[in-house]
Amino acid sequence: MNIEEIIDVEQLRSNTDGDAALVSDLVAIFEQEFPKLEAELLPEKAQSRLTISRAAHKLRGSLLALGARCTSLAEQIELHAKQWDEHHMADRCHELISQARLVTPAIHALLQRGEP
Amino acid sequence: MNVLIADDDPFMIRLLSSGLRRNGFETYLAYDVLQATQMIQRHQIDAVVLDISMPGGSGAEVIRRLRMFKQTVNIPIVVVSGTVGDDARKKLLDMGADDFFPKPADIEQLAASVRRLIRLRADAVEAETREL
Repeated sequence: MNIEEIIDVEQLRSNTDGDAALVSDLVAIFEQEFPKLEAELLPEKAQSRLTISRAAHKLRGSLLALGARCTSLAEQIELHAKQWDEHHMADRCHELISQARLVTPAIHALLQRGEP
Repeated sequence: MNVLIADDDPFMIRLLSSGLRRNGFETYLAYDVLQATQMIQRHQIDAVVLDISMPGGSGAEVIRRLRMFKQTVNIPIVVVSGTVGDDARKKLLDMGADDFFPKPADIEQLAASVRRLIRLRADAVEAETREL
């Protein structure tokens, strides 16, 4: 997957005014917060569907700000967490986690080449 | 101009604070309802930028408290929330918020809204003083 498939660079640039120091700080905060959200998103570990929905909600805000293309998946989980069957729910949550894990390495790569 | 940013998400706090500072505002930060109310009591806050879901209550509680007291009844409140939709927006405005932006807010638009609301409030206070 190339960076542009993971990150909407224009969106990231617009959200951060192209401020590399701000982007670095946001990435650091995201890397700190993500493991907690990841644990809350795992259906086999999550306390309830509400926990999953809230974690997806919180993750969505950060992903959107970082220009991550998996934002819409977080939104789907947030909105449909209560209705989906267990298997579909688990698949979607694992897919989101996999995609979200790619976000900060992609942004680090962007920063290394002098963007956004 | 001093703006209090109240949000439990450190990511959003950093993003909003940076953007508002870039637009010439001083920012004060609160991570829960208790901190937000303490900040408002201790500092000269000109406007509040608020997330609606926070630990220790909710942003709605902050709006209710601000609108209860004479000293704070007119402080502009802008809600920045991940809760989208016209119903949510209307509900928040009915509660006493002055403006609403879905997350992540466009910083320039948010800053323009906060500045406009602070000026409106200052004009209203000035007009009131002249009448007295």
